Amino acid sequence: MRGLGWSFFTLFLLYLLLPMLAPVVYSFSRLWLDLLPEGFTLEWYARVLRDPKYLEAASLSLRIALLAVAINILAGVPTAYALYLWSDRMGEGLRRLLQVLPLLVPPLVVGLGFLLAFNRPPLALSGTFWIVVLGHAALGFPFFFRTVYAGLAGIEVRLLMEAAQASGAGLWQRLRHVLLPNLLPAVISGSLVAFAISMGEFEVTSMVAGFGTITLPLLLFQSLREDFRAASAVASVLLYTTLLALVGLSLARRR
Amino acid sequence: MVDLIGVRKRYGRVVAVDGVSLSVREGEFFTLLGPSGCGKTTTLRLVAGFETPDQGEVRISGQGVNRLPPEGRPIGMVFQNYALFPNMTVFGNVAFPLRLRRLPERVVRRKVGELLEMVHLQGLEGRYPRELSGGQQQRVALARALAREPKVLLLDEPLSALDAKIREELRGELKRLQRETGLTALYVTHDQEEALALSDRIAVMRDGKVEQLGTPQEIYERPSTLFVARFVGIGTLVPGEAREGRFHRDRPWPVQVEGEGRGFILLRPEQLRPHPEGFLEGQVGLATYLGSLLRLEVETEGILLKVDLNPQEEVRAGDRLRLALPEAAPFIKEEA
Repeated sequence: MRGLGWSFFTLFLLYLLLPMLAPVVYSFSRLWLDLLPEGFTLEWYARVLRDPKYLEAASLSLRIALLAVAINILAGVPTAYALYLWSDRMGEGLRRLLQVLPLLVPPLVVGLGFLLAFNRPPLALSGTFWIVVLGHAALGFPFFFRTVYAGLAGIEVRLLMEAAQASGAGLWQRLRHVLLPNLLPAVISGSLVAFAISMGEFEVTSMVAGFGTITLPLLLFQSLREDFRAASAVASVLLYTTLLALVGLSLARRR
Repeated sequence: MVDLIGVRKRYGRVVAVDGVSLSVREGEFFTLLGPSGCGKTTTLRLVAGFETPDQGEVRISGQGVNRLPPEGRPIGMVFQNYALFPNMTVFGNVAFPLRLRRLPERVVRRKVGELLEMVHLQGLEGRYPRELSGGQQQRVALARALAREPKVLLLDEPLSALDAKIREELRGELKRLQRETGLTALYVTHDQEEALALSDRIAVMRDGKVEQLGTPQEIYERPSTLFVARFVGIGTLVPGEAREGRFHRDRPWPVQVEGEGRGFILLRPEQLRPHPEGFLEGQVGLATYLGSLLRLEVETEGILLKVDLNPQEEVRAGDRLRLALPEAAPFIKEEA
């Protein structure tokens, strides 16, 4: 029974991992005709690095992701804190809604929503850099919020803030010396997740972005038809980013 | 030192504190005692400044503090769950209130050293709270509360989360510290034994009101209401009537009482003694050996009396026994 379970688990793991690993293997190989690839090479990465098109897209993606994370920190930490402090029955419902709704709504609908909401003055942002940033921030929000909220619950923040207050600390001192240092690991975790989501986002981006905002995933999709080799290298780079975020995440958790 | 004047606080439809007036004297150990939901914690939080009264006034050393936040009041506070800052060491926690006052680091170090010595935690400066036992954490919390050099030390069930053994040990030390520093302490607990052991005076609270206020002896020996009689200590309430200074049931009892009318006398288990010519005769229903004493439940004249005996006495369930009554007992009139 147990052996059977393990076999199924292994098969399932392979089923999940192999498609993810394929582009990585492909990106390092000169030739892949039979079952196994041949000839290790870094040529495809070199080609991507030499092409300003890719570098621009990568730098754009990076800027968008950092800004989306910044928006999440600025909006998400206070929101989570406020909802945590006032978590009566209504607050609890609102929290669930915030956490779940964005996950249930199909990205296409989110994209369409952003298009409709931001296509007339004074919010005529369609096709600009900022609508992509806002879209990514919104997509990362449920994950960011959930992590920070769990962090708040984990450190008994209400009690700690009261203890600081009874020690003579004003609001600013409480935030600086007690809330922020204790919440930092959760904020870092949430930021890494939001960052990874933004770096790899395709659906919403493809709907709201204009010609001036070709992010790395959009460029990857375009080059699938022209240059499959370079595309696999780009895909691998995106995968590395996610893995890096994952490593950072487990480091932040351990602290 | 701390004065509450007609203080009321309600949450929605629930009145948590319903017109409490009391004065804690300087250097006094004052306890708010009562079951959960009686308003004792809310009263403490009103003094701390975490809540503001809807009506009435809170004064600390004569100064009205209704508008002051906790950080502006001359208080220190110890919480039930320690509430130490997990990102700071023992030293950092105790130094926190001192550093907020921008004292020079040299002074901070000296004072933290003194405080840790007071609570017997020298040598643990570098530990983090998670590396300490519950009792040690609460000592750190106590040192941190004292570091602010408060006029009033507020303690919210500080011993409730600890094991029985540690609880008793820390209880003694708390009393010693308060005596030595001469600090005014306002203490909240639901544990009547703790209240009796620690306090100079106790306010027994019920439904947001002070039911009785007095010294531990007054509260234990002369409870003014049935609630206090049931809540504090162990004993038996015997229903009957007070007439011409004596207690009557079916017949007059040889027990002096003050008051007139229907009501109850309170018989404490240590006041009842077996005696060959005792007034009451009954049968032992239950005999429980408790180490330092033998507790009996004696059934007599339709009442169940709790009686404490010397543990060496050889009494078993089913034995018949005559009991002598105390000469006088507190009489509590029946509530309307």
